[in-house]
Amino acid sequence: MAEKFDFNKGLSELEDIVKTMESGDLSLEDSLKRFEQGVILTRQCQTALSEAEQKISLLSAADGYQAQQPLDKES
Amino acid sequence: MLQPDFKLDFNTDEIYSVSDFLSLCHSSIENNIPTCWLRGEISNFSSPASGHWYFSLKDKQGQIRCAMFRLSQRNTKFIPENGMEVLLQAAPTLYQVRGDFQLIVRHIEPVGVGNLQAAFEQFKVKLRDEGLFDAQYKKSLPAVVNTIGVISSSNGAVIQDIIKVLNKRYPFAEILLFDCVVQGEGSAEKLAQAIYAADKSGRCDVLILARGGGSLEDLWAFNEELLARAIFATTTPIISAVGHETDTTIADFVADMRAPTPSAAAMLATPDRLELLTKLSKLHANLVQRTQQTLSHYQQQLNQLDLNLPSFNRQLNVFAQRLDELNTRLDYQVKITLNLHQGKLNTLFEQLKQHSPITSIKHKQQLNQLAKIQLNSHIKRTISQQQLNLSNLTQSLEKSIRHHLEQQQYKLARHSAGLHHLSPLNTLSRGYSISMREDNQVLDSVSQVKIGTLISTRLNDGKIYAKVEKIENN
Repeated sequence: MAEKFDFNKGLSELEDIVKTMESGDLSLEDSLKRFEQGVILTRQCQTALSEAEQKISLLSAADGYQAQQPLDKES
Repeated sequence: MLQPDFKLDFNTDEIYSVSDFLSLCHSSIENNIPTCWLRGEISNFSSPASGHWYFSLKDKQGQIRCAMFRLSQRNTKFIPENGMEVLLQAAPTLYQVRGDFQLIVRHIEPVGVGNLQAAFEQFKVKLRDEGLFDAQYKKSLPAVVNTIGVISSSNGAVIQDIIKVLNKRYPFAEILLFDCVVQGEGSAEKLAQAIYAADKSGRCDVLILARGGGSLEDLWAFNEELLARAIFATTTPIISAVGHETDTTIADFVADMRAPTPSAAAMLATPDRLELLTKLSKLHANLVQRTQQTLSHYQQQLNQLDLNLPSFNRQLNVFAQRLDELNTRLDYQVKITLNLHQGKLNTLFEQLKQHSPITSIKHKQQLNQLAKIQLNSHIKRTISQQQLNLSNLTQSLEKSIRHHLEQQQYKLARHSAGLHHLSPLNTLSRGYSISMREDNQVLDSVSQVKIGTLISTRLNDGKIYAKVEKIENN
């Protein structure tokens, strides 16, 4: 997934947008543009939170912790 | 007190040498006094290069020399100190070289606290004094965690707990498990290697050193100096989560943060999904609120402008009226001025017209026209005169030519009649003929032909073609 949504980046962008809007002094167009961006980011973040999948890998001492293999969560 | 005359009853054969006697005592002691437990306070402790320990065990009334050899120290985690009250298991013996009675210590443990506990306290003091626990060396946990390195055993509940918590809280984080034994001989060293590997991989944002609960012995690896130094050396923030909440290890003190349990460590390392969702909702609410505020702000401005509009309109009307008025006046003025100037202009124009070159040009043109007409009629006149002359001349020329022609024709007729008399043709009609060669040369001499020459002979009514057959001269 090359275009994977970066949750943390999205969250901090959203924070920036809200901060900018709270500082005021925005034209109506700018306000609405940021509002739209903010709504999209919120949705993306929420989706990411609900769809995120855990990735677990095992590295072992046998090869000096060089190679990694997926770890079965239920083992 | 011995009297000089006191007679000793002894057999000289039964006199011992010092060493024999010591041997006797040695075996007597070793055979008769079993290994036993003693309790006392340590003094005169020394540990020379050999690594053996030598000290005195004393109480208020007496003391006894003790030796504890390196081999016996294997299970001793603490180092005895002077003044320490200890319980020791020892066998009495005689150090024959000096004749000293002493105890060979097999096991030693502090009284009150356990052996390991004592060692723990000792390490703690030592490492604290070195500054390994200092707050200034504590690294803070990163704000954003993408990868978590867990140093623990792949078996057991610990890693599963961590996985469970992270899956619920913050599934974005990738977990790298650096599998390692967490108890037993050599485990401290292996843990240190795993920590080193995790730190040096450069992939982890935070490390969690985790182990489940257990006895002090089980957890001992986490109290070892080697591991403490490995933890201290990491550049990645590391959370220690060893044992249960009540268990505290040296590792906990050295680590950048201590978590009571592995699950707690996972929580410390990551934000909570629910918190994040709450945060998102809050941000979203702020966003909506701000936007609404902005909208109503602009709406208000708009309303204000709307309110101001009527008076503005009135003002506008006044201005418009004034403008109209001024306009009318201006118009009038302009017209007057214009008329005035127009009059002047007309006068000037008339004056100008009088002096206009056009007048003289017209005059000259008229003169030119006149001259042209005169010239034209003169030319016409001259031409018709000349034409008349020419016509007269032509008539007289024709007349003279005709006359001349008539004269010539007359002459010709006359000559022609004469010529007719002279024509050979008349002669021909009288029976004469003319012979010619093929080249139309009229023959007047026989010399002009040869035998075989083709000749033609013209008669009055035709021609005879003949070949000369014979020539006779007259």
